[in-house]
Amino acid sequence: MINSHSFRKEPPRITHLHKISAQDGFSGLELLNPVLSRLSNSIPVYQFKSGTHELVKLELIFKAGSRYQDFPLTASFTNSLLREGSQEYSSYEIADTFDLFGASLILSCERDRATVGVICMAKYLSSVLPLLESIIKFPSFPQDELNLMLARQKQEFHTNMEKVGYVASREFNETLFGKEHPYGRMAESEDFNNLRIDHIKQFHRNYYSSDNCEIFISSANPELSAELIHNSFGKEIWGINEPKQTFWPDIDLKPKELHFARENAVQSAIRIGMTTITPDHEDFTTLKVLNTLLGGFFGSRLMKNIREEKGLTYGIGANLISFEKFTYMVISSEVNADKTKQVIDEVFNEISLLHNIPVIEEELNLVKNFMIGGFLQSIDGPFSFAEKFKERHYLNLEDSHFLNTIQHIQNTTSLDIMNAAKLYYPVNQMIRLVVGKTELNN
Amino acid sequence: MINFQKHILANGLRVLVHIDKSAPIAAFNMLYNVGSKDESPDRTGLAHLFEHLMFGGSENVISFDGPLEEAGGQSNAFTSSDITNYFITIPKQNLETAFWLESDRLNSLTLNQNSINVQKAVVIEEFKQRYLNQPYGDAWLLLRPLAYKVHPYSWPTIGKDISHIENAGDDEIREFFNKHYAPANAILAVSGNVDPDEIFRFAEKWFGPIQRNFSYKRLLPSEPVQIKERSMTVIRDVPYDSIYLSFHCPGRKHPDFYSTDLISDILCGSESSHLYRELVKKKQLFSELDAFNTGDVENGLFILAGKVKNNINIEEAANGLRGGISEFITKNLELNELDKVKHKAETAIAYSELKALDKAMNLAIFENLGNANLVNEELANYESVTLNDISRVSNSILEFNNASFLYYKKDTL
Repeated sequence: MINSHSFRKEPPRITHLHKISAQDGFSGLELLNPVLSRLSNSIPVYQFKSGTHELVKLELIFKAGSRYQDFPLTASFTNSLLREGSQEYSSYEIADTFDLFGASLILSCERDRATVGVICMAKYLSSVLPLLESIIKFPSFPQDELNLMLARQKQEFHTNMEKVGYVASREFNETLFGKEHPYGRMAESEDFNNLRIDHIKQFHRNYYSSDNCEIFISSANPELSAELIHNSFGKEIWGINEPKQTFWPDIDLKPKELHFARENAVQSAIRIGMTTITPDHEDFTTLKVLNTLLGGFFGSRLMKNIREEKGLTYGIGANLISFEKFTYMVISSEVNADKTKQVIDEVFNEISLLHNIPVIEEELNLVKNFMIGGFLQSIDGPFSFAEKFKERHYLNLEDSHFLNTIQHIQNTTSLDIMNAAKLYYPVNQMIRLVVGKTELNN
Repeated sequence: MINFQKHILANGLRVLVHIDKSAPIAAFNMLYNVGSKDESPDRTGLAHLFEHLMFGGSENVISFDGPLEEAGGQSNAFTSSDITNYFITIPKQNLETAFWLESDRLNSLTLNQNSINVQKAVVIEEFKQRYLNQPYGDAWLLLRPLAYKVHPYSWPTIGKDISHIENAGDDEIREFFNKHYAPANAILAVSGNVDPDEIFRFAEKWFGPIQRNFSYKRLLPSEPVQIKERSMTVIRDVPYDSIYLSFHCPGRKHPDFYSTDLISDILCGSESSHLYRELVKKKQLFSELDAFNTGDVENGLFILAGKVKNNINIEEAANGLRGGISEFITKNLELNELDKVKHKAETAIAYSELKALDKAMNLAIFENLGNANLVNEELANYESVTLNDISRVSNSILEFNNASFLYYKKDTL
């Protein structure tokens, strides 16, 4: 029976993405560049038009992430508490009305930015906008809702602290930047007892203002929503906008080796990494190719070696994480507790191979094709264009960034990779961190 | 609305195609109608282990992912109690590569010793990472056998126990493949900026010649109706007490599924929902409370899961939960409460139709339920639910003789 299947020996012909001209080869890239307009109060509105669907996604983004806060938790609680009451509506009325229109409220807060937005059927946008306006401009920040949320999130915090992966990420971040650094200070248990409503009200006053806001809208017909948005957010200046000057202490670049004991853990969490060049650096794309080769996909060196050859983990990855001011590289995994040391040795072994042996053409091409294919996948769906655009917009990269990146990936050579490995993977400067058993057997 | 064309090959493979002109990539989804419910009780976890083994190479493909990545594609898979689902996204110029790879592993999976050994180890690490090394990670390992006494839903997809995976014999593994992996037991759905005729040609070329006898008849033992409340208490090294409450409920194909699904939203789907308001916000017995149904093909579980608030006794929280449920089933619901959750369903359905991959996956999943076009009837099915349905279905499901309580108590030592 197998013989009749001899045609299978011949794989279908493929178009190699690493070879085709980026300008001609990829359609749809123009959707990554929105139509920009300004409201009367000069808030920029980025409109993304695509698809034939009936949904709309509207986001107001403020430079109000945790790096701007004086007290831990302030930024995230300001953001989460917006839904818990405004001058006109109670917490229940807010939830009830969003629900009534099947609208899901987006509230998120990261290091650099905070987002308030909504996804709903376009036909209901006019019904939920007044509510969105009310919670952004006139939140009431009730004390009892703050107390409830603190109690809830404190429990969640303590639950997370039982997870080796969570503890490892947290400690890695703090070690990387230092406790005094705006990106470094992580919340502690007692911070949940010390957060005051005044911190929150003041943070809201200073950062949730029209001068500190940008609007993103994606739908089949974003222009139809323009007037609605203008009525809610565009007529006059709102909020105070008195951002404070951020103090950036020097980062301590000394390599560190840390161990956090969890004697009962059946797996250890590992984090290895360091701060590195930012996306505006000319070598950044080369570093990205290198990092993908090392641990950025299923067929990466680390996955092949540590999962697919040795079965020591369910997954291991190397990532580049960019904030507005800093980028870091981190290798993360949760591994068989008795094999922790072996995994760490293998990681450094793989890095040393990259320092010393040029990657062969075939493997490099595979990584390039994977990366370019991955880029195309990341723009599937009408809401993905705004996501992609925000990536470059907030890192101040030029309009042609994605096209340039594809070309840069295509032109990366084996020698580039080896040079980048030597420059950007200096093993003696990396932080090594383990959460797990103290005794690291082989 | 997901429009599609369908063609059935002579060997029984069903092929569905949806055209999405705006998609930058094509999505290729292969569903096998085999899940952990098809396992034997003394060898659980095989369906999921198999999902891992499917990436280990086949006669003409040394490793599954290499050629796919070279063609700019990506793939992954998941296993549930009901199905094993493999999916690929790939630039449409290279779509045929997906046909080549997927058909080769169906035709002639290698299953070499090294791959078996390594994937067993990987799955054991997955077992540890997800089920053992997380607070409350073993909830499903405990809850399922409490709720199901004879039905195979009594074990989770990962398996009952690590030893089942460790000790799975090579012959058992090969037999599993021959028994369940056949064109007649599979559904292929493709979506993207594609030409349906070309897709059907590719399917014919790559899958058409695969002849495999498929004779498996699924005979699942039916779970006896539960007549008495059950409970189980475990002491664990967890930061807070916690309660998991399950009720037997209708499966995915039952007309009452839609009412069941809406009831979970009315109870706990958002901050304005019934029990959330009552027990999290007002009485403050729980710090978190969720409700959902498992959405399984066979009769499933309706679950309420709550983290007890720090200063609250677990019995008090459980009584609050009972009281909240009893009050809900006797109360006359207002129409706008039903409208709310219907609108939520409408948004969720629209959201699930944005990406090429989601659409391909949905087509395959609904075809497996009987007919791919069911995906386009979902909205009408939710909309047709009446207040009477909600009352009737909640009275029949949310009944304590039908309930199993799992209590996690914090180890205070």
